[in-house]
Amino acid sequence: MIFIFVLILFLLTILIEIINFFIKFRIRFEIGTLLGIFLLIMYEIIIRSILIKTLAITNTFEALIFFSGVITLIILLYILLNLKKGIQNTLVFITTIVAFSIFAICLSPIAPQEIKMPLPALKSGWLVLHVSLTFIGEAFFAFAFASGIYYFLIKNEAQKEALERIINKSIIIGYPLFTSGALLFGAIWAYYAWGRFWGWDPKETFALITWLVYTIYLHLRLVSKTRKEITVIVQIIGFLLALFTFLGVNFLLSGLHSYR
Amino acid sequence: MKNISVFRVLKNFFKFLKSIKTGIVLLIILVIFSTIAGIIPQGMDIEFYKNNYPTLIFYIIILIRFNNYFESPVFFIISTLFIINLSLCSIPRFILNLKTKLIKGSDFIHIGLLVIIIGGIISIFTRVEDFRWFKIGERIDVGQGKFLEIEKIDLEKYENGKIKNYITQFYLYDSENKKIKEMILKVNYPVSINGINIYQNSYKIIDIVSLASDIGIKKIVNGDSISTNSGNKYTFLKFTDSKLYFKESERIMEFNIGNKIGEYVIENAKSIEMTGLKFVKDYGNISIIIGIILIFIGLILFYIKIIGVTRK
Repeated sequence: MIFIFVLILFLLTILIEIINFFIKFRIRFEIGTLLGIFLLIMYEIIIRSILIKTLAITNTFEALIFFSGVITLIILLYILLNLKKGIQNTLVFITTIVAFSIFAICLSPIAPQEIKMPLPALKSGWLVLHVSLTFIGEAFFAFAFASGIYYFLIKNEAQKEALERIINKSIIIGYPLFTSGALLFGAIWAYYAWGRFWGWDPKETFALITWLVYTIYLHLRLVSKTRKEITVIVQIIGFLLALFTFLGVNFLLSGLHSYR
Repeated sequence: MKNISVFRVLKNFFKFLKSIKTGIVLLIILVIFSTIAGIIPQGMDIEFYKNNYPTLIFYIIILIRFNNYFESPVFFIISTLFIINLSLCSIPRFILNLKTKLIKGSDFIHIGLLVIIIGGIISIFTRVEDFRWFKIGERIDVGQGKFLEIEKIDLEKYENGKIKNYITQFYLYDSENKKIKEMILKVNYPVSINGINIYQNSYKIIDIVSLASDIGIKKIVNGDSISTNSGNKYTFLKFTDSKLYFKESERIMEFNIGNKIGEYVIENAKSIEMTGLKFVKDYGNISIIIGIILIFIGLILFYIKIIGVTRK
């Protein structure tokens, strides 16, 4: 039932954002709908967490709603922090589409909604840090990705500059979170669960590749001659790889991380 | 004149090796090769690649060793160049920044990464790993005359019957056979004795059947087979509800204790719990832990800097 409400709120948000392109309201109505989405998703995660007695991000469905919820929160924060400075409506719209698409996958049969008690290896505080920080980091990457898409849709140089700054800020916030979650806490959890920090499991390999791509992005920005377009493309590739690491590896490749 | 040109070449080569651009190019190569290796299943038989890939791709896989990429010379060469680049970029800057007290988060991250890589290399050469099944009462030698004795094996379950945890309880004895302490091993909670980490890895129940014949007592477990004098082969499947199930050709046959199978008499049968333990000794772990801590420090400093810049 909750998901019907979330779905309606998402559709309502998208509708409001489309109207925003044509009519300028004094009140940003999508603040209410986005807040509603976030609170409903968090309510679902809290209820599930109480039932399974650990943070409910132990299967694809829970991870998807958590991921979608965090992206929603970032959109909300972006709107609230830029109310006076001016909000890029198209950026908000594209990011909402990204959050909605991720939420829509969780309504499909590939992500069963049933509440499952976690396997022994998944009952760990390190896993909670590993998964939650990874998705929070990736949610910032999602915002950078949406900004990157918008970057290539416009021609205005000043607007492009502003978007490039947003991309950089998002990655600078997301990168340490992703590094801590995906790689460091992941390695610590693997050490306690399986007796090794690293095993070249497909998920580990692709998480490392994603991290390396964002590392390339950060270093390319240090090289003064690098064209901005290249760095924007690199981070778009980075987010697509992050999605592949999460979904592609789960369903196409087998390994220790195939928790569906 | 020649000396100067050799010096120049070396100087330029050194400059090339420590350049950030070289680092970026190496990262890009690392990403491309690792992505290909990530998609191709690792460690399969050659036949698998031959049957599943076009001939040209198959030859490329074998030539570059994409079938075992993370142990291949190509991966080793790229990684070595990357480590050299990272070392030449980071170490001098770390020392300089440490002296001038201008140390940054990125310095800690780079050094932490190097320390982890060193740990990984130590691990390759020193890691010893073993997995074994044990039943209650069995003893495990842990060196220095000390040993463990398995006291209890437990399988914790949720209300719906799904597995919650595997638990092994054991006692540590000293060389004089004196109990030192009781230890409990669970998944995610390894114990360390004499530098050996012990992990709760698995659990199973096995059925043991004692079969008596003129030759003596023969003990078999699930999956074992016996051949009778008449030439029939019986494979033991399971022991449940006081019944024993064997497979003969395609038939599933049911037996009770005391029944005969050819010249064998079933004397008794029982089910016992087995705990699967993993033993790991790895001198690289300390270095990896130090590296992880250094990267965490670096990431915290990184955020402190962002907050500082944002406030300004």
